[in-house]
Amino acid sequence: MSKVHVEHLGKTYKNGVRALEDVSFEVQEGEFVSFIGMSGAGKTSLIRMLNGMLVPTSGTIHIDNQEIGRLNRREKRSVQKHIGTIYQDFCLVDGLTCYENVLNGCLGNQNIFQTLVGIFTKEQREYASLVLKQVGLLDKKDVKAKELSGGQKQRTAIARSMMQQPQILLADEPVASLDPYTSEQILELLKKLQKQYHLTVIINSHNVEASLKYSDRIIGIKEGRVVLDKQVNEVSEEELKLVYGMK
Amino acid sequence: MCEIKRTIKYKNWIITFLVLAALIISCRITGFSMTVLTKRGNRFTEFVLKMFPADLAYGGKVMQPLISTIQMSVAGTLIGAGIALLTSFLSAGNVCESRALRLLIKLVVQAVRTIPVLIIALIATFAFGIGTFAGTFALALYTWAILTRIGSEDIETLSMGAFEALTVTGCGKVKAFIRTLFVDMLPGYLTNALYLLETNVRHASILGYVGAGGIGLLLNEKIAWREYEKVGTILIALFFAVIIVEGFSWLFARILEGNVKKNWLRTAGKRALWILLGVVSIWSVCSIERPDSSALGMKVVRSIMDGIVHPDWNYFFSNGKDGVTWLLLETVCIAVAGTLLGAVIAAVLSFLGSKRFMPWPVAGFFRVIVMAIRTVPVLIYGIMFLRVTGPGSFAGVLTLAVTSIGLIAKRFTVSIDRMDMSAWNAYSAMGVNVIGRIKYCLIPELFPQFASAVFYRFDVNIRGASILGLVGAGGIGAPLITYMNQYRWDAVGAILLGLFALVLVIELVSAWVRRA
Repeated sequence: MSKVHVEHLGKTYKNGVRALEDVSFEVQEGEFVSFIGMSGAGKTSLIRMLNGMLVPTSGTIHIDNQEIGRLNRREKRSVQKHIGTIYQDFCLVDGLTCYENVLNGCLGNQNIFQTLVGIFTKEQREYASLVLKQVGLLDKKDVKAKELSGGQKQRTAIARSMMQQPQILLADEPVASLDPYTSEQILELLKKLQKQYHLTVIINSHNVEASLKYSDRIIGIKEGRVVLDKQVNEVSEEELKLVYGMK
Repeated sequence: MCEIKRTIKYKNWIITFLVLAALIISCRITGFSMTVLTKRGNRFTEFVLKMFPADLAYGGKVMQPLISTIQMSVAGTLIGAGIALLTSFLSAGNVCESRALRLLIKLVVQAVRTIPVLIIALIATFAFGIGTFAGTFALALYTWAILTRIGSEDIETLSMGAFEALTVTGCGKVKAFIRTLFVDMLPGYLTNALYLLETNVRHASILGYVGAGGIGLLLNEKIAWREYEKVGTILIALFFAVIIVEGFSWLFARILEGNVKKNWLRTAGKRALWILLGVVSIWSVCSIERPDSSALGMKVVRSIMDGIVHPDWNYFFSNGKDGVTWLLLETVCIAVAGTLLGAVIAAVLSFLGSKRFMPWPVAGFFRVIVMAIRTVPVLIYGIMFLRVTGPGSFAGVLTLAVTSIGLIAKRFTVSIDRMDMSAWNAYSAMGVNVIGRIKYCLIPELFPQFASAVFYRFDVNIRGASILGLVGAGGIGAPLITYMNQYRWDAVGAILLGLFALVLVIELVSAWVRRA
């Protein structure tokens, strides 16, 4: 049984730009899959459709055998609660502390009154400390997000998504704005969390080498279409060049 | 390259020419005259000498109206800021999807911003009766309009990333909003609200003129009875009240920005200040008098609305010296001449008050002077200058010039103190003399910031000029208030419509100038 099942997915924006066309693939539970391709190939649109930020123009997405497009709002939200996403630009609230940003990850289980006053249960607070420890940021707990370094911000964002106790972790260019050394650390962390919690990880990346090192499978996207879908050890140099448009 | 340089040069010449032309025309129309100023200027000092030394024994009687002035300002700011918190989100393009709602709010805000607080207060006294309720209402409405506008502009610059990221975790938009955009905008919003509190204390001190409560009533009375030493006492009391409010708001703003080094201030101090603010707010809101139930209330509001919808078009388009067009022109001229004159004085005072160029005792002295100048309510200056110039718009020019000094000098001083001195130091190391350094380093660096401060104040002064008529210092205010007291709402509507159009045109021009 596949965790994520995408069939004939297409996305055309209002301004006529066609981002994706007839994309199909399956991701198994616990798999680590990397999407590679040039800028503008449609990778970001794909991730945003998987987490429900964008609505596809055509095709279907099944998560845990539930078709996202057919769910009502409440059902869709309960699926979204278990999909964590991390972004290239971190998407943190600069004025809140690292710890408060992490707590934001469990807003899905709060009511409006609790949110307004800022009440979190003891369990939620303990779990936030636990995930902060796992990403190695417990000592930065009370530092404002704007004062953190790039790597620390991405760790905070990862901790926030772990707060959702996700089954699927999506990552849109998670290391594109970080230096090579920090990038390596972030990817190591993702790999560690994937193993520990048996997560399904889907990641977009420009960095082919890192993708080959950390993923189980590579899917190449070119001009909105899947042009490569293979296990890491089966991918050849020529096939990679094809994804990036070189003959 | 050469082409571009030449057009820039032409543009500078054209702007200089236009400003000079506007200044000359304005001086002509307002009857500005240096000879009158030098010959009769001593009447101003005579008036000051009548007020000081002040009658300090009278101080005790000033306290109660002073406190109610501050209560009015705090309550007005609080209520206005509270409602604006909601409307600023509703009029921000990136949050509210309903275009019609956004436009509606923006239109109302623009309309309210056109009308000076004093006029709003006057209308409020018709609707709610005389007393602090009318004043608080006027201040709240004014605060609401300003904060809705500034707030929505700030919100539109916020990054939506965190909000969208949380929305897709399935928590819904409202909760995501509370923990992201709301948290992001709050510190800046509170800083602006505090700044408005300072402005509102100044505004509140004259609202008594139209019967809207506070110390203005007393001020009006003592001037009418020619008890000038008591006027002096009131001014001193106002000075200290303004200093206290400013000090408090400065401290609070620093804590909000997290700019405090001492740890105890960050935690305990923050809590103490919040509690203090809460107590003062509750105390202020509770102190507002109930509106007078015998007042005309909704009936007046309805007839005002009716007047604005059906303005007296004959009056609006009549081109005599008492027609709306001429009065608007006169108002603009008062504002132009007053702002530019004020800017020149402010420039001198801000250099004298800058710690960079002056030893600290000198700088400190001039800063206190600027602060004292800022404290005196606009109408008092109006009355003082009337003795120099006689009734008419010349007095208005002088009044606006003096009241402009405070804000312009404050902004000038900030930009001088923040200026990067490296170029200046490099020039002096090259052996360039002071004049050269000023011409080629100081002026190019500071001029744009000076210009923007002056322009901002001009915008404020257009509205300010429309209340000078209350004391006979020219402009559109005199007929406005007369017609209001005669319940000629169609004429009032014509004037307000004219003001609305004028402010709109000036805003469009200023947006164009800033873009070009």
